[in-house]
Amino acid sequence: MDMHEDDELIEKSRDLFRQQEQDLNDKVLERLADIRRTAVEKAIRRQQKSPWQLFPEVLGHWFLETSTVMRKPYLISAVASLVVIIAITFHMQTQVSMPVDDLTILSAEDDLEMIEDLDFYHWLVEADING
Amino acid sequence: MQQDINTFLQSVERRAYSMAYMATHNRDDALDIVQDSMFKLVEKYAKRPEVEWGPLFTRILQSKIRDWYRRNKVKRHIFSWFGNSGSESTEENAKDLVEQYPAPNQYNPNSAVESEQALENLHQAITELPLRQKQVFMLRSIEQLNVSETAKAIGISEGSVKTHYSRAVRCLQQKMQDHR
Repeated sequence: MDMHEDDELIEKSRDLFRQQEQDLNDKVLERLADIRRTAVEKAIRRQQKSPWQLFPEVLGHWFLETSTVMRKPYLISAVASLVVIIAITFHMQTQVSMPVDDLTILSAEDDLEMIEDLDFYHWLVEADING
Repeated sequence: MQQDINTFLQSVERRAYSMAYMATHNRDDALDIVQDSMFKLVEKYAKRPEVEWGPLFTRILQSKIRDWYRRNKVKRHIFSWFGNSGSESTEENAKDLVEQYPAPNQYNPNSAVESEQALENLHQAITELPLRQKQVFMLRSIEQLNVSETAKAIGISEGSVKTHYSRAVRCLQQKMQDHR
C-alpha cells in the first residue's frame, strides 16, 4: 500500500461523508433542528438561573450520571464485591463485640446491686442459722 | 451567547449525526447520541470560551458513541442468552440505510455509477471496522484531527491512535481492493 493509495482512500472517505451530510433526509434534519433548539433553550434557562436554583438540577443530573455509570457491568461487580466485604466485616465485628456486650451487662450498676442484694440475703440466712 | 451556541451546534450537527450513524447504523440511536452530546455541551461547557467548544463536543460525542457501543454489547449478550440477536429492528435498519441515501434525482448527474458503487462499498467497509478503528479513522481522516487531538478526543494514547489508524487504513484498502 503506498501513500498515493492512502491519500485516495482518505479523499474518497471525505467525499462519502460530504455526500452523506448533504443528502440527509428531511426527517433527520427536522429532528436535528429540534434537538438544537432544545439545547439552546436549555443553555438560556441555565444562564438565567442563579447557582442555588441550579442545585436540584445538578443533583438530579448527578443521580442520572451515577445510574449510567452503574449500568457498566464491571462497576456493578465491583460494588457487589464491596457490599459483600462490608457485610462480612460487619458480621465479624458483631461476633467479636459479643463478649464486650456481656461485660457491659456485668458491669452495669443494676447488676452490681443485685449481687450486693444476694450477698445480703446470704448474710441474712447465715445470721438466722447462727441466731 | 444564545446565537453563538446555536451557530456552533448548527455547524456540527450534520457531521455529528453522520459519525454517530456510521458507528450505530441506526437512525434513532444516532439522533439520541447527538442529542445527549449537545445537551451535555450546553449544560457543562456553554460558559467556556467558544474556541474550546469544538474539541469538547468531539470528545463528548466520541464518549457517547463508546457508551452506546458498550450498552449495546451488553444488550446483545443478554439477548443472545435467550436466542435473540438483540437487534429487533434489522428491517428498520435496512429501511434506514435506504432513507440515508438520497433519491436518484438528488444525485449529481455527472457522477458515474462506478463512483457511487465505490462510495457505497467504502461506507460498508467503514461500518464494519471495529469501534476504535472506526473512531480513529473518522477523526483523523474526516475531521482532520492530528494524532494528539484524536488521542484526547477518544481518551487513548497517541501510540494507540497510530496503531488503530494504520490498521483501519490497511483494512479499508484491502476491502476496497476486494471489491475491484
